[in-house]
Parts: sequence; structure tokens; C-alpha cells
Amino acid sequence: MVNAVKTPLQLNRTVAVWMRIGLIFVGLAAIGMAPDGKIRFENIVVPSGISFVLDNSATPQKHQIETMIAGVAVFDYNNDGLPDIYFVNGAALPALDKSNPRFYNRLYRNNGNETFTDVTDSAGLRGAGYGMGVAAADYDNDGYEDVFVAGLNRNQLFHNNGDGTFTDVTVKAGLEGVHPTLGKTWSISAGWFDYDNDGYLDLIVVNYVRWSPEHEPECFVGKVRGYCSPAGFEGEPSMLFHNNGDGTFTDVSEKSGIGKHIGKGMGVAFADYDGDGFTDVFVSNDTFRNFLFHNNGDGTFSEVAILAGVAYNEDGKSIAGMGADFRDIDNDGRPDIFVVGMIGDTFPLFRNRGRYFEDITRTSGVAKATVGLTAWGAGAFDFDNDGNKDLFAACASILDNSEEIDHLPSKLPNQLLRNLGNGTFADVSADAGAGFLAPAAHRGAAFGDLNNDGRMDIVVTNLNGKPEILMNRSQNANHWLTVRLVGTKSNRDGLGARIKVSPSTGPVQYNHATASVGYGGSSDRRVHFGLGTAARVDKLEIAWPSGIRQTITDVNANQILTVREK
Amino acid sequence: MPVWILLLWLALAQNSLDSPDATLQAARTYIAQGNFVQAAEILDRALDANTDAGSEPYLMLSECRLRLDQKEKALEAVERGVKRYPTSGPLLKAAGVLILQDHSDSQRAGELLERATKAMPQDPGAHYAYGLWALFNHREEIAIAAERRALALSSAGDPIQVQAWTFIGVAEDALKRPQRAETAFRTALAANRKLPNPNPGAAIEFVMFLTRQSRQGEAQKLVDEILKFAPDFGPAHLERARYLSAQGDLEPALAEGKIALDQAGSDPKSLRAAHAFLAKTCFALGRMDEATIHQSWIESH
Repeated sequence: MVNAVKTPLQLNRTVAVWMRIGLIFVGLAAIGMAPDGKIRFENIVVPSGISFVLDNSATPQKHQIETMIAGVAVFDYNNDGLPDIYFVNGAALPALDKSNPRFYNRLYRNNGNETFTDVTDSAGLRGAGYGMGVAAADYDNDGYEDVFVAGLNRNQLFHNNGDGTFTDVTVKAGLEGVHPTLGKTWSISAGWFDYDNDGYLDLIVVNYVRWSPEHEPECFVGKVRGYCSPAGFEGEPSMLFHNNGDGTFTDVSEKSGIGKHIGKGMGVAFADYDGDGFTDVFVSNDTFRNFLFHNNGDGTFSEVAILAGVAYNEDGKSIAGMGADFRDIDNDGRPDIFVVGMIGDTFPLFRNRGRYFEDITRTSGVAKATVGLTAWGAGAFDFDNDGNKDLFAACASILDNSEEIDHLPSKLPNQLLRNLGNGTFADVSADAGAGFLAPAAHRGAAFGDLNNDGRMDIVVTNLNGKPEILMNRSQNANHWLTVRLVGTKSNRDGLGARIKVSPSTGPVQYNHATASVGYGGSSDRRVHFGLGTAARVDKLEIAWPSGIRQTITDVNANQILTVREK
Repeated sequence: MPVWILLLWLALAQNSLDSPDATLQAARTYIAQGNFVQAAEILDRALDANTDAGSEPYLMLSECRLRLDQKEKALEAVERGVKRYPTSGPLLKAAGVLILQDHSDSQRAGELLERATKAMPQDPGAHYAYGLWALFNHREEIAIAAERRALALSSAGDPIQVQAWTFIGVAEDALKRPQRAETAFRTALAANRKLPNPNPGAAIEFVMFLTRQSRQGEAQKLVDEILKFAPDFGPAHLERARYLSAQGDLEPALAEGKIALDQAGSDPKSLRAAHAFLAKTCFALGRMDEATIHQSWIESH
């Protein structure tokens, strides 16, 4: 019989082992890596090699456009399996001249070791003019993701040549951004989706207000000059372009009904909210009611935001809508809507009840957490892989001198709301790491798994500063699955495909393929699922835009699964 | 009319209007008769002839203009008074309150009300109004201090106490101090219950707080209580309607929403909130004709 009593030496060894484990834990905690279930991010912009600075060419005149830039894209331009980053940038004012390298848009190739290389010049993606937003997707189904840049008075489409270079095909494609009656527009965001399920991605361009430096009012609070409210400008309609499948597009704004609605568009997000097989469009508007364009399936859309209950906040008041995400946050199979806005607005969260939405901003705890904030970028992703999508907001004041004007900080920390899985959210920003909490003039945000570790990372732009590359360092044992879709009959990116995942344990989950998230941004098109304790997915069901339904069984967790449509 | 505006009037009404001047006496007589046009005319004439008649004529003229629904002229009267008597507490308070009613973010209102608190440090209404301005302008700590001062200066049973505690609750909540907020709301509720006519507007703020804390059950109990002492209070009906809708009980939700609309009177905010709710609920129930009516109202307002 073995004597269970420990000798002093054994005891010392045991203590030593525990001490070592304890020290490891303490050490991990010190760098924010403790296995504690918290969602944590580390800003790696300095070691990443990314030197981009978002430059708005700030002027004493406080031109309206200066505060509005810019979006960012996370997409894999060279098909090496690693998401790359493309930053949109401003231009010298008032000439909108981008010739100075400080104003170039910048493409950074992901080296795979959390460093990035600037490949802007070799790729030919400097861009032109004052950029605002970006949308990346493979519009010609050649297997390489292309880039559309929305901006002031001009938009640009860059075709990915598949060899690391891009060609400006804007004119050939007919996507310059010239409205038939309004002329040049101010486009903020754009998004790719296949509205008619013909296998080619169409494009919506979200326009903001009629603006020119010559006709801009001077806005003051007391004697202090500030950016004007959009309420003082006329709105512009969004534009919808049908992909003809031959590299050209046809403006179907009027025919589709989209162009009949004049708003002050900011964010755009897609989902088939009523499950009819056609992708619907949500456009958040600034100081104007939001639009929900229901896809009628015949090439037309009906704007139903008021009836569906997503036009206003619950008081029937328009908010300063900024970024938005359209995603199922309660795993009931129905995509919900998250919009961010301005201080006092709170950030509306609309729960999809089938054909209408319930405003759960207050009851979900989101109002409590967001009432004092202003945000631009936004997204709903499962950052801790517990099976529930959390909410992220890239926060900053609209005014760069709000300290002077309304005694509020112009730079704000980002916000992270953890989905508690019971219809409520908790503000966990304070635990998300020092890099996450740094106040800055945040603007656009794009989401993706930059290092393919199964945890969703975030890239946030920062006006007149370096971006934040927020690597998700959450330490937990939760499993995950990322699905990379390859459409054959559907558009090659599979955008619009709806995925239902039945994990081996835990509730069924839903998500769909979209890159259009937040404010002027384009996110990793791969579809991410946190699986909690489930190490396997019993069944993965995909409803492709083509109508094909595909089921895969017994899928191991913790992998990036490529699914080809068949 | 929002409750806070009524309370602002209450704060204003605490100004003394005593004066031996004959013009004032005449004006008072006209006012007592409800002849505000005549009162305003003689006060206007008197002030044109002599701007040094003291602060009271300006206040009375402003009061008359308000009775005549001439808000801009009412403000003009007190602003004239402030120009002539820049340290007059009642004038500063009146001007600040009038601006605040229509421009809650006005820096001028804040400046006037702060000066009013200094000119009348013992006046609870001045502190109360300044606190309200501070609350509207995201200066919650200032709001809390001002409302606490108003509380200290007012007597138990004064309706201002209910409202001041409520604003403290709102400010504490904005500062993310929910425990302090709840204490303030509970104190307000306790005081409110003792009033002969409890203030439903203050109580509904507690309901909002509870729902923000995801405590819908407690919130609905309080809604029930509010509707017992104020059965026609639209915002409580709307809150009940929202709760029912969230439960999927659309028909009763619609009925409550309709009551909320009926009780909204001419308050644009209440009307808008009710129409927005009804548009969605009718649509959800497949009653397109009704839904369209509410949608049209919203689009045209």
C-alpha cells in the first residue's frame, strides 16, 4: 500500500508545481492572456508594420467631409488564406488631390505572422480623390476579390488581376458614381450582394448629402467653429447597379425603387430577414429615418422600415445612424439589426420577429451601455466563441473639438458588449485590454480572423492616427468553425448564403455570408461560428442564393472549412 | 405638455410680483380679469417710457405674453429685463427657463440659470432649473449638485422634490451608478406616493430605468401602479403596449397603443412614439390599411 502522506520533499515539489502554474497564470494575466473567459484584444499595430495614418487634410474651415472618413476592408486579395487589409484615405483639400503619398489608400499584405507588408504601389491601389468607404468582393467570379472604393464625387472599381495587381475598371464598368440627375454624389458606403440571385454580385452605393466646399455653410457654436449638422444639407438617394455578368453594370436605382428614397446614407448591411430567399438591404441614415429595402424578388424593393419598426428609435425619432450590422444575435434563425449612432441616441438593437422587429435596445441593456456614446463602425460577432454574437462599436465624437463645443471628449474608447445569451448584453469593454480601451478618433471597423486562430479580430481606423489592429487574445476553451464558401451556381463568394449549424452540444446557430458590416467597411467574407463546448458540428446546412441546399454532417470544430456549392 | 415643463412653470411661479407702482396695479387688475392683451399693452408702454421701472414689470409682461401664447415676445420681455437688471434673479431664472423649454442644449440658458442660482442662492426653483439644464447638457455631476441644493431648499411635500430626486436618478444612471440611481428613483417614488396628485411623469422615469436594467417585471408593476393613479397617462400605456408586444401579445398591445395615442394630446413626441408603435404593430398583425395611416402620419410630421 502506498503511503499517501506526502514527505516534506514531495510537499515542496507539489507547492513548487502549483507555484509555477500560479506564476504562469499571473504572468499571463499581466499580458492579458489569462484563461479567464474574458474577451481580450491586443493592439498590434506597432509590431505589425502597419504605418498607415488616416489623413483627412484637416482645415480650419471644418469641411464636412473631414470628419466622415473612412472605412477599411479585411479581405484576402491574393488567395493565400490570410486576410489582408485595405485602408481608404482622404486627399488634400480643397483640391481633393491624392498625389501626396500621405493620402494614398493602402493595401497591406498579411505575412502570416501578425506582420503586414505595404503592397499598395505594386498592387496599384493608391486610389484617387477623397475616399470614404470600401467594399471587397469577387464581382466577376474569377476567384479573386475585387475592390470598390466609395468617395466624394467619384467612386472607383479595381479589378483584381489575380497576380497581386489591380486595374481601375471604373469607367468600363459604369460605376463612376454619377447620378443621372444629381450628378456627382458623395458616397459613403457600398456593398456587394446578389439581389436577383443570378450568380453575379450587384452593388449598392450609399450616398450621403449634397455637399460642395463652395456651398458649405459656416457652422459655429458660440464663437467656435465646428462641423455642420447633416440636418442642414439635402440628402441623396442610394444607387443600385445590376451586374451584367460581362464586367459592366446597369444603373437600376429607379427601376428597383431604391433610388426613389432620399436619405442621408451611412451604413449598409444585408440579410434575408424574412426568409424568402432574397437578400434585403438595411441602410442607416444620419439624422433621417433608416431604410429597410425589402427585396420583392422581382428586381424591385419596397421600403418598409417604418412598418417593420426599424426606421426610428422606439420614440419614433430619427437617430444619427452610422454603422450597422444585420445578423442573428439570438440564434432564432432571423437576422436582427444593430445600429450605432450619436450620444443620446443609444445604439438601437432591433430583434427580428419574422416580418417586423422589436426594439430591444432598452430591455437588452444596450441602451444603458451606449447612451453616452457616439460610434461609427459596428459589428455583431462572437468574439469569445461561446455561441452568442457580441456587439462591437468603434466610438468617437463627430466633432474633433467637442471638448470646446460641448465639453465632451472627442476621442473615445471602443465598446464591447458581451451577449449573455438571454437577450441581454453586458458592457465588458473595461476588461478587453489596454489597447482596446485607448481613446481615439475611431471611425470605420472591419472584422475578420487575421491569424486564422478561430477568434475574430478587428481593424479600426483612427482619424489622423494609426489604425488599431485588435488581435483577439481571449483565452478560453471554446471551439469554433469558420466556413469559407465557394459558389458555383451562386456568386463565387457565396454572399447571401445562409448557414445553420447544429453543434454536437449547445443550441443551433445561424449566420450568413456578408462582407458589408459597419461604417464604410468590408469584412472577412468567411462565416464564423463560436461553438462553445462543442468539439464537433453534427450538421451544417447551407442555403445558397441559387436555391441549392447543401448539408454536411460530422464536421470537426476548430477549422476553416471550405465548402464548394454543389 | 411634458411634465418637466409644468414643473418649470411651477419654479417660475415662485417669483414675487409685489410692487406699489400704479401701472403694475393696473396690469394686475387686467391679469386678474384674464385680460392679458390689455395688461401686456400697458406694461409694454410703461417699459418703453421707463426702462428703469424695476424687474417686476418685465416679469409680468413676460407672463402676459405667455398667456397669450406669444413665447418669443415673452422671452424678449425678460431678455430686455436682464439687459437692464443683469443681477435680477427672477429675470435671469425666467429667461433661462424660457430658453431651456425650446432649446435644451442652449448655452445661453445654462449661463442665465447659473447666474440665477448665484443671484438667488436660496431659491429652490433656480437650482432645480439649472440642474435640469445641466442634465440635458451631459453635465450630470453639476445636475446632481444643483438638484440636491433644490432639495435642501424646498420643503417636504413640495412637488419639486419628486422631480429633483427623479433628475438625480436620471443623472446617476447616466453616470453609470445604478445603485445611486435606484436609491434616488425610490426616494422620488416614495415622495410621489405621498402627493395628493402623484406625478406620473416622474414615476415613468423609474420605469425606464428599470427596463434599462432589464427588470421588465418590476417595471410593469410600476406601470400598473401609475395607471391606477393616472389612468389616462399615455406614456404608461405605451410602455405597457411595448411590453405586451415583446411578449408576442399583439392584439392587447395594439389596444394599449391606441390608448397611448388617444392620450398623447398635442404633444408631438408622444404622438410620434405612439404612431411609430402602431404602424409596426398593425403591420405585424397584417392590418395594412391601419398601418399605412400611422405610417403616413409619421411621414407627414
